[in-house]
Amino acid sequence: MSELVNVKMESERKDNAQSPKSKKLSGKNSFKKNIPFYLILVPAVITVFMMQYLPMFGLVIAFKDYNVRGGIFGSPWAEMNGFANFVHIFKTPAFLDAVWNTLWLNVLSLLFSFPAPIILALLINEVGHTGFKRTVQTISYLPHFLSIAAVTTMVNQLLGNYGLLNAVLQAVGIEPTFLLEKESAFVPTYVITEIWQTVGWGTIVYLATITGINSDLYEAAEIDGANRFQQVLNITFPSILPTTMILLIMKMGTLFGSSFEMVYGLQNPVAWTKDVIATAIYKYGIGQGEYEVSTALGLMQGVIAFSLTFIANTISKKVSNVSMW
Amino acid sequence: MMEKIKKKKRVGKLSLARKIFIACNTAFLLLCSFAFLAPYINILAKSFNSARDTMLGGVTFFPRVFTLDNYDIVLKDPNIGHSALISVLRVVSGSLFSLFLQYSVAYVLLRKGLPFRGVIVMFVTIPMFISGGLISEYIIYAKLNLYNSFFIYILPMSFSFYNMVIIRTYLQGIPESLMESARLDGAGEFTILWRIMLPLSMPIVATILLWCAVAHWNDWARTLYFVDNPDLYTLQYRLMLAQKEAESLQEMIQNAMETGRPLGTIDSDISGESVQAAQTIITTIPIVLTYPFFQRYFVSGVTMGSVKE
Repeated sequence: MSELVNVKMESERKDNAQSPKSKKLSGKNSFKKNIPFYLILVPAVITVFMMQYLPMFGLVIAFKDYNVRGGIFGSPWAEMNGFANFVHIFKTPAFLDAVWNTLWLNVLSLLFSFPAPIILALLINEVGHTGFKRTVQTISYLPHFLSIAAVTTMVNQLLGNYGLLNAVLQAVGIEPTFLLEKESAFVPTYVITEIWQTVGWGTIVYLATITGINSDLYEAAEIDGANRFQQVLNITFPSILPTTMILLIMKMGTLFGSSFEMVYGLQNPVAWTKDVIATAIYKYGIGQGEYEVSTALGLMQGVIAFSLTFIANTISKKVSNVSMW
Repeated sequence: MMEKIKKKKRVGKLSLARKIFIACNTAFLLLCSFAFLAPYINILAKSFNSARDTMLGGVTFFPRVFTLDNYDIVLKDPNIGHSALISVLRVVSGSLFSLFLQYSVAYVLLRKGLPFRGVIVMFVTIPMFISGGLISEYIIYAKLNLYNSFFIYILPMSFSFYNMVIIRTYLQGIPESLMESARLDGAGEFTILWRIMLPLSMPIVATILLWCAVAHWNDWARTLYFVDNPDLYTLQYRLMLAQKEAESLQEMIQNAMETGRPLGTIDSDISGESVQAAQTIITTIPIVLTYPFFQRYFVSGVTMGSVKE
C-alpha cells in the first residue's frame, strides 16, 4: 500500500511544480468547459460512494445495540456510552482466542515468511545462467497465481490419509501420521503454506532492487580484494535495506490483520478449529448474527493495524530515514 | 547488456569455494522449484488415477491406474458447467467494469486545474485507509439488494486506487500536445478519450484487465459472504465447497468410529479424493497454463511502485 502513496505523492508534486504554467491554461477553463470531465466521473463516484462509503457509516453499529427493525441508525446506542460491545470482546474467550491466534500467526509469519524471499532472492541472484534463473523464477510464481481454494485443497490432500506425506513417510519406513487430525499441526502447516505461496512472488521486489545496483560498486570491491560473500554483505545488503524497511513497515501494519481465506480454507471440523479475527468475524457475525460485537472487533482490528503502521513508520523515519509517507 | 557482460566476466575465474557454492546453490534452487511444483503434480497424478486406487494411498507423481473417469464425472456435472459459465461472466464483466471506473478517474485527474480536483483525489483516497469491514458491508449490500445478485461480483471493490494511480502514471507519459491539438480541431472530451487516449494506452489497459481478471477468477470469499444461491456459485467456490464437504464427511466417519457406530454407507462416499483432484485441475488449469506468458505484466506491477530510486 505504501508504494502507491509514494507514487501518488510524487505525481502530485510533479503537478504542483508545473502549476504556474498550467494555472495560465486552466484560467480559461470555466466550470462549464469541464462538465464532460465531471460526467465521465459520475459512475466512479456513485460506485465508490455506494460500495465503500456507505459501509463506513455502517461502522456505527459497533457502538449500537443493533436490531433489524431499527437498522443501522435507528437502533439504540449500546450500554456503557456505546462501548459495551468492545467490553464484550474482552469478556468472550472465543474472541480473545481469535485475537491471540491472529497475533501469534503474524509473529511467526514475520519471523519466517518475511525473511524467506530475501534469502531466495539473494540465492537466485547468484545464478549466472539466465535461462535457469528465469525458469526458477517463473516456477516460483506458480503458487501466487493459484487461488487459496486450490491451495488448501492441495494441503488437505497432501497431509490426508492417502496423501503424499504419508506415502513418503512410509517409503522411508516411518509410521504414517494424520496431521489433519492433530491440533498442534495447524500452526506449522499455516506458516509453511504461507511461505510456499508467497516466497517466490516476494523475491520480485528484492531482485529488482538488486538489479538496480550499480555494477561499478562490485567491480571496485573486487579490485579491493573483497570476495563474493563480502560483496553481498557490504554492497547488496545495504542496497536492499531501504526496500526491506518499507516492506517491514507494511508488515507491521498487518501484524494485527488476519488472512481470512487461508485460515478458513485450512480449518477443519476434526481438529483445526482455531479462529483468527477475520474468521471469528465471519463465524459470529454472519454465521450467528452477532453483528455489533463482530463489527466492534473489526473496527478494533482496523484501528490497531493503522496505529501499528503509523508507529513503525515513525520509528523507521527516525532511525533510518525511510518512510512510507 | 553491459551488465550481463560484466557479470559473465566476474564469473570467469572461479575459485574452488565458488564452484562448490554454485553447485550447492543450483541444487538448492532445483529442490525449491520441485517443492513449488510438487503439490500440483501430485494432484495432477491423482486426478488421472482411479479413485478406488487413490484410496489405497501412495500415489506420488504418476498415476498408477490411469483413468479419465474423474474428469468425466466432474465435466458431466451440470453444476460445474454452470459455475464455469458464471466464473467466465464474472471475469469478463467484472474486469471490464473495473477498468472502466479506474480509467475514467485516471483520465479526469490528468486534467490540471480542474475545479474540485483536490476533492476528487481525497474522495478516492479515503477508502484506502478506512473500510467498513465485513459486517457493515454485509448489512449495507443486503440493503442495496446485492445479496444473491450477480452484481455483488462486479460492484464492490471495482475501484482500486492503486490501479488508478498506475493508469494515470501511464497516461501522464502521453504527450499533452496530442490532446490539445485534438481539442483545437474541435474534438469533444469523449472523442479524445475514446479515439486518442484509449488506443495509445492499450499496454496499460491490457495489464489492468489481466490483473482484474485473475483476481476475479481466483476469488471465492465473496461468494461465501454474499451468495447462497447455487445458481451463482463460481468454480472456485465449488472447489472450496467440495473441500468443506469432504471434511465434514471425515468428521462423521471420525465420530462414527469413536462412538463405535457402524459406518453404513458413509465410507463409500469418500472415494471423492481423485474427483476432487480433477476438479482442482479444471479450476486452476486456465491460470496454470497461461501464467508463464502473462506473469511479466504482474511482475511489472510489483516493481512499478516499489523500487525507489
